[in-house]
Amino acid sequence: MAAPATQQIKIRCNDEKEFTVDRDVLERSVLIKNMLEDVTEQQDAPIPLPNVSGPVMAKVLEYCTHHRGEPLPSADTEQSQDETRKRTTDISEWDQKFITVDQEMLFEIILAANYLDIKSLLDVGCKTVANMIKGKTPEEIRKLFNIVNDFTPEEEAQIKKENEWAEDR
Amino acid sequence: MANRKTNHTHISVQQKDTDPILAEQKRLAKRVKKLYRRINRLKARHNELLPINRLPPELFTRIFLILQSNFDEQHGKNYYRWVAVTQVSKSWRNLALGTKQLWNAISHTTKADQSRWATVSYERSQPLSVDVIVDFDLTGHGHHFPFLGILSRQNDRMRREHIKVVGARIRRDTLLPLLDGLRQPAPVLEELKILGSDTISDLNTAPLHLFNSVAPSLRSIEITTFNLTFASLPFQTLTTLILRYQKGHHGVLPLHVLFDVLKTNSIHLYHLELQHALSEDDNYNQVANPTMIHLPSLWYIFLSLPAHQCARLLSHFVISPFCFTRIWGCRPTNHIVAPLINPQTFFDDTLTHFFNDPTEFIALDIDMKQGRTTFGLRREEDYSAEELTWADRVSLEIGVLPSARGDGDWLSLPSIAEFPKMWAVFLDGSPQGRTYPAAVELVSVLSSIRKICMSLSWL
Repeated sequence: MAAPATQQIKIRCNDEKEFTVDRDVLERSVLIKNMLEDVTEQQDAPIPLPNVSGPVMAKVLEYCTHHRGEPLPSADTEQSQDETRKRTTDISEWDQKFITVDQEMLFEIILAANYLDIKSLLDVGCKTVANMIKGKTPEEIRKLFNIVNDFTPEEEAQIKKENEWAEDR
Repeated sequence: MANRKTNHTHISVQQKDTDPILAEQKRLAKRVKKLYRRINRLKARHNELLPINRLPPELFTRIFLILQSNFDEQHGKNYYRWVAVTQVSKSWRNLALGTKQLWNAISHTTKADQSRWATVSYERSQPLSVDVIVDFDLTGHGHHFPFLGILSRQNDRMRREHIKVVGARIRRDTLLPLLDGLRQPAPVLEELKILGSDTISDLNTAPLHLFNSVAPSLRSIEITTFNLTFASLPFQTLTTLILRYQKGHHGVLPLHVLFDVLKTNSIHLYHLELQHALSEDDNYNQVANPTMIHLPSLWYIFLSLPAHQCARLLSHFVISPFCFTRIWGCRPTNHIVAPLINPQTFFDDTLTHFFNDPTEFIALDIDMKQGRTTFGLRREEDYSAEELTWADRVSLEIGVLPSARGDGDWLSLPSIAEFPKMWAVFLDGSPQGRTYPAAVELVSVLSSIRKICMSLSWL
């Protein structure tokens, strides 16, 4: 039998930082939701989350608290959501403000959303990165993410030749 | 003589090998190459440690797909901008080239010869099915497009085919490869959309057996002003059939073929649109067993045909009352005067015949332009917000319209009164016509009317 929505759950991050959070907020994460469903008796021991640090978890919880109560995507809607995800890079105003963080934190949030299985947050993160890349030249993308060009001159010449027709597209 | 020549060559090679400068240059080149390799390895290692490259490949793929699909929507100018991700670094390139889904949406325009790119895309996306968007404006271009040839050879993997070919003086031989493609089996094709233009001369040499009648997954056919005559459309699961042509077009679909299509696809068909698409010689007598056709899934029907063809078709259809129905029964000059152009008959016989409960309809769409009479029924949810706003505004201005002449008896008001839930009336006609008095009479008869909408040309 499902526990009442107000139940408080403790989690522990990989830097020993602990959070006590309402169960319905935490259940935005499919990983934690499944863990809680597997536990029949109430446990006081915090749930260990070895792949997430405290600061990142704080951001993730901010997102989950804001979106608490919203319907979770079911397995049936996954397919159509994927279709929608493919078609648009639109992000809601609140989500956009929320995800305006430095790059390090952005990628940590994406990794955490992937690990915790929070589809909507993963979606926001990936769309944000796609928006950052959108319309930029390869050189601008490298500069944005501090990537160095590791192609040999021969490889670069070949790639340039391959794409030369698309230059003025 | 021959021996001497051989000895000479031998000496020259020996000299080259022992030349200390050449040897040093060779050694340096080798070392530079080695250093380049080492530098590139270090660069790759640097890249590996970047925050963005901590993302696993499946998340990169997800990001690339969002990016590609976003450009897919605005194909044209920016369509291939997303390929920039293949030129950033080795790891990004390997990932992008290995993601087949990135390469199976192929767009082509006449701006450049993209046939080489098409070949590459087809290879990289193997064995996935492909979506092809062709946007050719042939005005001012040559007549040879190798891509059309490539396209016609890819039917086995084609899932969606959207082709737009417009331009002045298009030669038939330019489009021959395209026609060839339409004759080959298309085992995974789901959607065919072709937009042509009036300037394309008649392409037909013989009626077309589309995809040689082999397209088991075909759901949607949408053809606009592209002259093809169909010998048959023997597909089983069509949900959408749209054939649009300009008024006066002689039509591409014989009536008996249409009846066959409707019969075989009656369960699935939900969108039927025929604009001047039926052959004028409507060979009704060739229709085998023209009994009633039940179309339970149909939610949109738009017929813009000569009135006698509309009447003939509709008299065989059984449609849900919730289907959005739009019928433009054009009066062909010097042609049969059909029952549809008599509103009284339309309401009393035709409508009540199709629809069990005509009171379900809340709006009547009437077009009284010279030479044609249009009747269409809509439901509230079919209105866009814009239309409702427009209706609001225009209805307020009815009182200041210039007085219009006309007897206003063209519509049988008792028939209209049979629609007690009707709340919106759209009237389209000239101020000198009969629309205005009709509107006044409608208001007096129908207490339920809340909106009367007239063409803006009145104001």
